[in-house]
Amino acid sequence: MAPGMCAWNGAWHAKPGRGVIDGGDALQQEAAGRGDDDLAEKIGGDGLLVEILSRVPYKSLVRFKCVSRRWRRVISHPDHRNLLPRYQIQALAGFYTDYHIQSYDRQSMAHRFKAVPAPEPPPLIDPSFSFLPKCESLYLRDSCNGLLLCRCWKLNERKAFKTFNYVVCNPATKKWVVLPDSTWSRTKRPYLRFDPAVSSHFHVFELVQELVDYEEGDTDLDFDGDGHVLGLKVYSSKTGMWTEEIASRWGIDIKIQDGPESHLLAMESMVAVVDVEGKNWRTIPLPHKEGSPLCGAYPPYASYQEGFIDMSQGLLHFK
Amino acid sequence: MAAATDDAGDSNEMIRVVSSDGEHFEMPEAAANLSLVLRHMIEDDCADAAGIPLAVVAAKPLAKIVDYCTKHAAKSSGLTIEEAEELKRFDAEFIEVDTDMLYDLLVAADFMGVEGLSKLAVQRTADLIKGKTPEQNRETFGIVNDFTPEEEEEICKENEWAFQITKPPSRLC
Repeated sequence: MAPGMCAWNGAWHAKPGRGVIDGGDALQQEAAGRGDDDLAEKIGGDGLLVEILSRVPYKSLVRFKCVSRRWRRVISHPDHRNLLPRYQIQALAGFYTDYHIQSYDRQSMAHRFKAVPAPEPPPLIDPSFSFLPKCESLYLRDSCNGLLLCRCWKLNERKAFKTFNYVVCNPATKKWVVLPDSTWSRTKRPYLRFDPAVSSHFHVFELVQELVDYEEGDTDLDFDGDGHVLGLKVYSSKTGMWTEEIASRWGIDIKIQDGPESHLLAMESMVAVVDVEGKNWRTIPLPHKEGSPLCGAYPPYASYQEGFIDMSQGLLHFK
Repeated sequence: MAAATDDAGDSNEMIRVVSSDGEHFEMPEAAANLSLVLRHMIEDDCADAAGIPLAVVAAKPLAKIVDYCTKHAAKSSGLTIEEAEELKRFDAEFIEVDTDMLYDLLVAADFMGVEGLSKLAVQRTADLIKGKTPEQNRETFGIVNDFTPEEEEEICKENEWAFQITKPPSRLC
């Protein structure tokens, strides 16, 4: 063994000193604008702080952005995203349910929230959405990564429901955004898309479908049609505006798969995909369909209705 | 390399370590092996009578770490439920220290590569800070608030909901 090997005195680990949590030298250097400090020290120190912060609840983590510049940098750094608690995982997961209350002359909606798994004590969630601006009738239409999309109906002067606003809210923070007035048509079907890992902005899609016959006297306010998709409009919270209607560029007939899980469109054993700007339109064959990379990996299905499709953590799942 | 081929658990050899402030400590080789850094030194035949110098670990935390390693090395594998629980109790008592010592242990355990102790200290720190306000954490760890008042207000405002724990939002941070 070379004698030099034994001269180790911790030099390769820089000088951890008191820099792990308080920022120490690194902090002063940053404050003085003298540029980067010793990289090894920075990585070593941040690693420990990340370890600690990975063990606090999400709410504490958000609060701690306010401790110092270094803490904010460590908490907000994209490399730490998967190591630190995230809202969807640490906070609350559950189901909101709507149910109708029918009285003599009108129907109203009530809402329930069921957290999964049921925490003890129950979460401080107000399922009546009392934090939202007042509306005559509120319908939940979609949810995505912690945000909810509702239709908030207004009465016009003849006491008839004609116009509404989409409201996107975060029940955990009780913040909400009211979208511009919309006029209801049974050919439109709304969806919410929000991915905090990509952007803090959300998008609301309104798929425009072919008008199909419906029964006279059908008064269900929030029944959305089931015709073929003709195109869509997109609202972006960044611009605060709806786009013009963009005609479908899928090239084939796409019909919305019915059922509560209809986040994506599936028909002809295809998943139809469109990006948030309405620019990129494509279809993905389902696993049992010829042309799919997974063809043969699954037993054939009698029809698409047996499949279940949804997104989770950036992956498309098919069952 | 003779030391490395011995069954560490049965080795009675004592390993000497020297703190940054010059104090000497001794622990069984099996205990020293719980530290990645010490294990590498022993494997490289660097452990001698003069002791392994730990240039950044002071005597106070080093004494604790020697205790921790000695206790855990003695009960390393094949624990009964009772022994495992006793070790858990030992850990819980061991980490009941003031914040200065906790801080020193955090840094030293990380530095010496004592995984179990590092996890214990990290968890303890997380438990200490999680219910606190940013200001309380600054006080606890001597952190300088280097935000301008405007910046601080903006961050607080952006994340207002996270501050609504026990106090009204009028005094956010």
